[in-house]
Amino acid sequence: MKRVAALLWPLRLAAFATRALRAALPAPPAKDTLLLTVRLMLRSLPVVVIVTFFSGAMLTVQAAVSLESFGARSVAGLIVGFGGVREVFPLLAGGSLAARTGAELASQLQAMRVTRQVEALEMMGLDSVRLLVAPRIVACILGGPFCVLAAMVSGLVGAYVIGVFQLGIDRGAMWGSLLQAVGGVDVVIGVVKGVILGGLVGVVATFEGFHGELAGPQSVGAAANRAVIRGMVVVCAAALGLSMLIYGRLVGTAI
Amino acid sequence: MTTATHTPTANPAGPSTAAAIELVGVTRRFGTRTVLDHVDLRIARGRTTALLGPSGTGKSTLLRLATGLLPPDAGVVKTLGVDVFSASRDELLAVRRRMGMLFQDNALFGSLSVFDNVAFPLRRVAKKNEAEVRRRVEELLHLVGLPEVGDRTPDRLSGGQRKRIALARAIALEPELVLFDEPTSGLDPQTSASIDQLVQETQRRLGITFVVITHDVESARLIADDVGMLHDGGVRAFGPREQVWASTDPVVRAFLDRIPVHSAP
Repeated sequence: MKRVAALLWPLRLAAFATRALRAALPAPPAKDTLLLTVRLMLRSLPVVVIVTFFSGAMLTVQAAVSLESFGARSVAGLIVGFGGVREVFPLLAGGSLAARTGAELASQLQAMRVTRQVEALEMMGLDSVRLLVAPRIVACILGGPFCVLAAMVSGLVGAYVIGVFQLGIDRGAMWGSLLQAVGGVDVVIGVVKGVILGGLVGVVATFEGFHGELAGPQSVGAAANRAVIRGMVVVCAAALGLSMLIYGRLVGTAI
Repeated sequence: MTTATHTPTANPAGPSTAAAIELVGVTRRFGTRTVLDHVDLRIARGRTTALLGPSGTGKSTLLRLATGLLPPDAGVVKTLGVDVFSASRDELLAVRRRMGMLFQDNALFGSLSVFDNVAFPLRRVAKKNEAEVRRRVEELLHLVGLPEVGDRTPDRLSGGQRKRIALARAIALEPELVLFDEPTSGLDPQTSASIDQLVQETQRRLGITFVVITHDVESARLIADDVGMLHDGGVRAFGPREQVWASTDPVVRAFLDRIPVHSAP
C-alpha cells in the first residue's frame, strides 16, 4: 500500500500544484504573499549564504589541488565559476530553501490542520488553498531567485577568500578567472532556476503540510521531515533536469 | 436502516419548513468499521438539537458530513437545503458561509489577537470596513461576556473564555445554523454550566438553528429542544427532549441514567 502511495505521490503533487495555482489566480492575497516573501528571504538567505560560502571555498581547494599538477592553480576560479555558479550554488540554494523554508511551511500548515484551523477557514466559506497554500508557493517563487543570486555571490566570495588568503592565488588572477566563467546568461539562468526550484520547494512543502495522517503533535514533525527529504530529492532531480536541458546540448561543443 | 424524523410543532425561525440538516440513507465507514449505517435524520430549523451518544458512535462524523468536510460512502446529506456532496466547490463554500462552527478545540488562530480572531470572517468573508468590523466585534465580545479581552491572544485565555470567543467568531456572520462539537468537553462543571447558559441565551436571542454534539447528558438536558441519541451506527432515539427523556428504551435509559457500560443492556 505504501509503495502504491509512493508511486502516486508525483501525480498527487501535480494535482495539488494545479489546484494551488488555479486558486492563486487572478492574484493571491497580496499582503500575505508579500509578508511571506520577506519572511522567507530573511530566514533562508543567511542559511543559503553560509552554506554556499563554504561550498565555494571547498570547490576552490579541490580545483586548486587538481590543477596544481598542471601548474594551473591560478585558474582554479574558472572551475568554481563554471561548476559552482551554473550548478552547485543554485542546487545548494534550493536545498537550503527546502531545509529552512520547506520545513517551516510544512510544519506551520500541518499545525493548523492538527488544531483544526484549516477546517475553521473552510467553515467560514474561505478557500484554504487560496488563503494558505497559494501565497506560500508564490512567496517561494518570488524568493527563489534572490536565494540563487545570493548563493552565486556568496559562493564566489567564498572561493575568492580561500583562494587568495589561504591558497595564495594572485588576487587579480583569482577574480579574473572567477568572473571569466560567469556571463550574464548564467545570471539569467540562475534566476530561472531560482523560480523553478523555489516553486518546487513551495509546492512540496505546502503539499506535505496539507496532507498526511492527523495524529496529534507528531504529525507536525512528520510533515516537516517529509517536506525536507522530498523537497531535496525534487530539487536535485529538477536541477539535473534543468542542467541537461540547458547545458546538455553544449556537450561536444566549446563552452 | 435507522430512521429518525421529527418535525417540531413550533418553529421560531419562521415559515420555512426545510430541514437545517437532512441525512438520507447515509453510511460512513472508516476502514472496516462502519460508524454510520444507513442513517436517516432530519434536524429542524430554529431550534437547538443535541445529538448525544457515547464516544465513537459517529457524532463528530455526522457533523463533518453535514459540513461537507467528510464525504459519505453512501446516501445524501443536505444542509440548509443544499446537497453538499453534489454541490460545486463554490456552492459548498457559499453554504458554509451560512453556517458557523464551534470546534471542540476552538480552532482559534493562535497568532491573532482575540479581536482579530472574531474580526477574521468579517474582514475576509463579509469584507466589512474597519468601522463596521470594530462595532460588530465589540458587540459580539459583549454578547459572550468578554468585552475586555480583545487585545489578548487566545493562549492567554482560560478554556471557558476561549470557548466564548470561538462562539463569538462562529456567529459573527449571523449564520442560519451553528454547529457545536462537544462545547463543554474538557471544562470544569461550573464553566460548562456557564457555556450551556450562553448557548441557551444566544439561541433564544438569535432564533437560529443550533446543533450540539455532546456526550454531556446534563448539558443536553439544559439546552436542547430536540434530542437525538446515536448508538451502534444509527439513531436510537430522536424527538423533543421530554419525549426522549421519558424513553423506556433500555439503551437510551442506560446512557441518560449514566449506568456503567458493563451493566448496561
